[in-house]
Amino acid sequence: MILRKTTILPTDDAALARSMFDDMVHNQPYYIFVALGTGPDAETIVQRADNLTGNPGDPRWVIWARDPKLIKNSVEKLQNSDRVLSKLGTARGFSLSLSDEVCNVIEGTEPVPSLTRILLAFAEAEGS
Amino acid sequence: MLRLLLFLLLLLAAGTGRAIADGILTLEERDLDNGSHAIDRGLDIVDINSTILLRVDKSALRAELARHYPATPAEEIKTVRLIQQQIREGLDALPDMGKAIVAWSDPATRTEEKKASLKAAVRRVANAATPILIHATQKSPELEAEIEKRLANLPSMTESYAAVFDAAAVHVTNLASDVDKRLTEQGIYLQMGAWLDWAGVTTPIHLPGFDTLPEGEFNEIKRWQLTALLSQENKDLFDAAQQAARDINSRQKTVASLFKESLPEALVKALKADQQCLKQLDDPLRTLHGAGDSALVQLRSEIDETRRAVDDFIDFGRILQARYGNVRVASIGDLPTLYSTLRADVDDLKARAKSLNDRFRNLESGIKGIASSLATQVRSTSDQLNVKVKECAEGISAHVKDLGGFVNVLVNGREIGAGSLEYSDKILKHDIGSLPERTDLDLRRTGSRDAGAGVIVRISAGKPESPIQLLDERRLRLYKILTYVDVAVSLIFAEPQKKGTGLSSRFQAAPSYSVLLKRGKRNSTFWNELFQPAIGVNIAALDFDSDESLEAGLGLVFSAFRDYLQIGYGYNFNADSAYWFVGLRFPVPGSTPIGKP
Repeated sequence: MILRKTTILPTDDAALARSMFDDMVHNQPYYIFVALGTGPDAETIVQRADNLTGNPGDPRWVIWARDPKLIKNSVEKLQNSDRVLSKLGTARGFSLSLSDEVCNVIEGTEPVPSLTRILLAFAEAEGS
Repeated sequence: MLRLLLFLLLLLAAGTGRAIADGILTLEERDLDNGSHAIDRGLDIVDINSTILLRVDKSALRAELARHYPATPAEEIKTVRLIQQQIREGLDALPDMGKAIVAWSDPATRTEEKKASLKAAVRRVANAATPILIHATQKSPELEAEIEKRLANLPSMTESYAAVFDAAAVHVTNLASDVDKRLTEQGIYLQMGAWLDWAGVTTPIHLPGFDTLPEGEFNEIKRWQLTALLSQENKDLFDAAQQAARDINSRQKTVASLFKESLPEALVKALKADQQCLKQLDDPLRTLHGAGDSALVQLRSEIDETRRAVDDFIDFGRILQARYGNVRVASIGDLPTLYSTLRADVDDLKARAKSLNDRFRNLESGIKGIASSLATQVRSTSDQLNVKVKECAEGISAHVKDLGGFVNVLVNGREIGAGSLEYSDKILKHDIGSLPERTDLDLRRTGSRDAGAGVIVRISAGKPESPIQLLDERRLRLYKILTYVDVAVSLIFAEPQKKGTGLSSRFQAAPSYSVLLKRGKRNSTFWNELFQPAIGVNIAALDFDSDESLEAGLGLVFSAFRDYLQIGYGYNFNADSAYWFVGLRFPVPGSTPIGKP
């Protein structure tokens, strides 16, 4: 698995995970796709999302929260967090705009998202 | 990926990147100075010598067909239209997004301004792509598969969106082709035609690819026609201006007398001519009314009604004559009121003329119905009546149309007539697949025309055994928009600056030529039709020492309102005197035959 523009949050240090998440979301100027969970499906999603982040200068980034509950407090503070907060344990991922707004959620009930589906998540964040 | 971007650039170059316009027909003007101008609806003025690029938006065309023919695959048509629109918008915005990302990519030079530009540029592209992505992920596995193929190669952010638009273009082409096949199977055909409206006549003009009409005669309206100075027409006008100047200088005529032939005067003249014609109906109508022929008895009430209508029309004419018969130069000071009253009266006249024509038609058909049973002498009277009625009706219609048209020009600018726009058998019937998507209309190939002419383009659809349906129509007004030279024979009133010239009055009338530089506007009928400001040179034949030998004057002149208002400053070389002058184009308003451009 080769990831170019993905930040993998730790699972054993909640404070560090939150701090890394907050820094990426609030201080770095990126449209972000947050991949949630572990396992082969999550890995596929992370790889696909990373493939869509483009050139180093392109303002897209991926955060992989393998343990979503660690970032719950941070997600709570985002705009439109109600779209994802209750589904953090089940959703496959969500996208964030430059204004740190939750834009598109890929539900746990959806099949493993294709590149097209993940691009749709990015597009909704980028179009907001 | 490079090939993909090249494809998208080609699409842009082909013009599909233009913002979508409402309607099926989109027009672009290419003028003789190599300028290119989109012709928006409502701003329909073009240069008289331009080439018009006509584009048929098939996506809008399909949508319009779905409106007219309920059996068409409406849902698919909607999808095609939506996706095509999104592709256009996306491709339009993509280059800006690319530039904004490049400007943003260096962290050392990032600013809030660049961030705002980036957000705006990305937002436009993303919003264009989102409906396509939703359609792909929710409704079209084929489109999703096409996009997946293109996204597999680690695209940049710009390329990822380009991939979406590229895949969507392929998908929508296939979808549109299926829709077109179904429309063709229903027997729907399409026709597009163009007409030139000039001097009250509409003439079909050739649209390459859409008809088998012959190409029109090449006629480029000259922009730099200094030779007009030497034309016989202008020489004659100059002589007439010279005579008018002599009459005014010798006080045989007043300036006001130049305005004798005004628009109200023309109305009075037209009414008199109509009255004379109508009066000639009286005898045959009386004869028929008094004839004892039993077949005619049943027509008596119709004859009475017609006589009453004729009398009413004549009476109304008399009222108008009384109202306008004495309007002279004094009325020029209150033109708006004069024209609004005149307009109301001409409208009334139109309504009465229509009602009179209806009456004539009833009588004519009544007489036709009993013609075979009439005695020979009575039949001959009725035939004469029919001929005369036709003559009067045609005369009245022509006068009313001319008057109405001229009043409209004064108030609203010229109207484009569309009375006889019918598709001849020379207009090809296309199915939607074979319908060309663009054609060029070279206005220089539309034959005889001048400023104020109109061009009408129509696209319609038909189906066997059902009437043809108009789908879209564009109307253009042709004026001289690019800079051009106009030569005006003018009557000037010069005031010498040198004392002791021997003139008996302050101003001297003199004939002159004004060579004027003008330019039209694409957004103002008033400017092109009436205002026409200009700057130029005035060459006058003066006679400051009143010795009957002409002196040459040369001056700078400003002109407006079709050159009926000119003001300038010049120098009389023979008399060695500068002079101010005001002038007006010759002949003065009203002496141009009414209704003629």
